[in-house]
Amino acid sequence: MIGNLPFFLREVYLNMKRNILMTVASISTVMILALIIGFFLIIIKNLNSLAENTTSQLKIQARLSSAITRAQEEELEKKMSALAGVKSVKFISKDEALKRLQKRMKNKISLTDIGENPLPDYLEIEPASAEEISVLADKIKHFKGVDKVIHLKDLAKRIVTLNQLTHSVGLAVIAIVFIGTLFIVSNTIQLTVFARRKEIRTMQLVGAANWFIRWPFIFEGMLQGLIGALAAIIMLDLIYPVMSIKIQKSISFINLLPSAHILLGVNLTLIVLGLGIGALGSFISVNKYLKL
Amino acid sequence: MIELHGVNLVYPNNVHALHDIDLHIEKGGFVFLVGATGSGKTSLLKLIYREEIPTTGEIFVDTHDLSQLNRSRIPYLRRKIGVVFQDFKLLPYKTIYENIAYVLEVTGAASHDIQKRVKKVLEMVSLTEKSEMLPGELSGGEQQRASIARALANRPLILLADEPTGNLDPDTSWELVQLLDRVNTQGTTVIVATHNKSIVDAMKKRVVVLNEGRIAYDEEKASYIPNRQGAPELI
Repeated sequence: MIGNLPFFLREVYLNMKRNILMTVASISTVMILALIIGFFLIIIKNLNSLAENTTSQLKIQARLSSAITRAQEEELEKKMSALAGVKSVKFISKDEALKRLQKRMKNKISLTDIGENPLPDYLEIEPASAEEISVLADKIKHFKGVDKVIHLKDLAKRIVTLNQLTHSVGLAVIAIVFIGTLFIVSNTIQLTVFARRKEIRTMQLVGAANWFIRWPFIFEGMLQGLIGALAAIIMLDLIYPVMSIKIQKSISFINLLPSAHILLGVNLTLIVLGLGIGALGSFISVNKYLKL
Repeated sequence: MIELHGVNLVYPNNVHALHDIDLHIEKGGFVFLVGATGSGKTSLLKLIYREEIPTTGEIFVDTHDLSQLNRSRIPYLRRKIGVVFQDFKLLPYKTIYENIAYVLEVTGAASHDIQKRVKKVLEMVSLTEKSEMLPGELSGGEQQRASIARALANRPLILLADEPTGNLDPDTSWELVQLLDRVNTQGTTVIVATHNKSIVDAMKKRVVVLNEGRIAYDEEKASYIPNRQGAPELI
């Protein structure tokens, strides 16, 4: 097999050159479908990251009673950290709370306007997941020294639903697109192999072993898949940075993932996919005619 | 070298192509297989290179018992047999040179040996100048010669030729038969299925006549039309 590699590669080159129309058809099919899959991958990755970001901003505020001592507060912090489903607990002093408020209000308020700081000290609890937030809030409410528990119940629920939705819909969409792609590409490859079924028969009749016939077809499929995937990658890599900047300019609250962060994964996925679909499609098609 | 015992071949469409064939061809033999179109000549050749499997009966080719032959061993059988197909079966996207080289590539031969051998067989059929052309660019007769060159490339033990003179003019046909005879004297067993009366008559070789799938007669140093009573009408 290794010894035959130069012959196989020459076969691949000559076959692609002499069947140029079929080659172009296969490559462009892979390219278009890789583009579609890549596009969906980018959308779903962005949606997932959006959902994750929002989740990480969901926190529970446990406002502490003003009578609580520093030691009691530390004790409370320890207890809360030990609860299942708690990622972190952070003490926020009333001064810090005011600073945050001022920052959020873009310095439109100042202490001089309101006299005394009305805000309480509080513990900021970050849940491990958005699903846990209501249960945790209920537990925390009953801790001694906690005055009031504030969390965005409805928002949490919505984000949980959105998270689940993007995950399942994303998976379903990718699965459908993937199966469709596999089907169309393998059909195209089957057509190119079908066109050469008589050649395959002749090769068998003049003494070629099945593996000797099969390998050049598999390499050809892989190369076509790779070229198709690379063409799609080049387009996506050129389009995404431009598009993401435009989208971000018009919808400022959406943070799209930076190109460097997202494209490497998408590119690798598409390359593996192109090679895999090419190899598998050729293998299945050639085998069909080798069995004759 | 080639033995068929009680061979019957029935195609899936129920056409009974061959009936009770018993045939023994010795190593180094030269046999003309004659008979009308549809008499079973091509089917008989196909059985020998294992393109068809007999419905009943046994076939032995060289050391292979074809009824016991494992699928993975079929290529090894075929590498011992050079076949000149009636429809040439040249690979359309390969040049004549590549077509011939292919049968050597499949055996794993070294590339300089392949070059030498291809050059040699191309000279034998006078196609050296057309070696870089694709089969579609050649005339029928040239394609036939290319097909013969390919069959000879592997120095086969057995050469099967199905109507090898079908597309050739009388002079070229005669040259070709001389070539087959030369190959035969070097030890290759040759079986030629043909309609070419003048060649069969001139060669005075063993003639096996097939009639409706049965061996009608089998005689050494014979002529195309058997000179005996009750012999079948040919063509």
